[in-house]
Amino acid sequence: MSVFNIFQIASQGMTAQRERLEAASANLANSNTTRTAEGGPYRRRDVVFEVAEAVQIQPRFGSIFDEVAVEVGQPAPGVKSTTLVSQTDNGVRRFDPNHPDADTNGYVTMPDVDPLEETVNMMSAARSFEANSTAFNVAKEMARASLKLGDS
Amino acid sequence: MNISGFNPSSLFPQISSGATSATGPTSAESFGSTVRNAVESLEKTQQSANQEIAKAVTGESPDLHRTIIALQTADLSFQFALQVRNKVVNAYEEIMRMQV
Repeated sequence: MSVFNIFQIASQGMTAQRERLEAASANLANSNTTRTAEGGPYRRRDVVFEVAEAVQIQPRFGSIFDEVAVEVGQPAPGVKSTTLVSQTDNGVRRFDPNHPDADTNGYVTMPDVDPLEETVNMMSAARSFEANSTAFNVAKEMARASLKLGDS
Repeated sequence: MNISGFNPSSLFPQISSGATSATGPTSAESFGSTVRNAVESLEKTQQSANQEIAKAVTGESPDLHRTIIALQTADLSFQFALQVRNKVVNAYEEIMRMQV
């Protein structure tokens, strides 16, 4: 377990949060989309996180000391995100006879996207991204402090 | 007159790579190859940082933070290598100052 593993984990965390923001902005942009390639209204995108395999980093400078390093438990796992298309979201039916995509009864099916929920998702993603970048910075500060050991 | 080479890894057998090379005449080579491997892996971090920069500039990289993290990794590896080099040079100068 080296400091570079922490870098990798923080990087994966930031990538995952970026994907969340991507999904939220896609949902917001398509909140009025009634036409898609597969037919029907746009379906909401949700991002789920899962534990990724423990990060395997290439040997770096300093890996020669790995033999004397005390192994503490299992290596920390990273995170992996997947964007899923909502299967339960069947849209909301709204009465709008003048809409070009309205059915014979005058109802049009709109995507079930809640702008408030997406806004909260965006804020949460931004804060989590910040948290990951802070973890990275702290790891780097620790490494820098280690390098300064014994100076002066 | 036969002066045997200075062998730093025999002073610190716990950090030499593998218990078999801690003794014997081959350990001097293993110290050299250890340094060479270390410098090569340092070179590798610099190269991967270069690749990440190229990807970011050409728009291939999906994540900006990966570029920065590759840069920081290369920076940190280099700082570490620099510290090790400083220590080695210090030890060498210390020995050269020794009165014979």
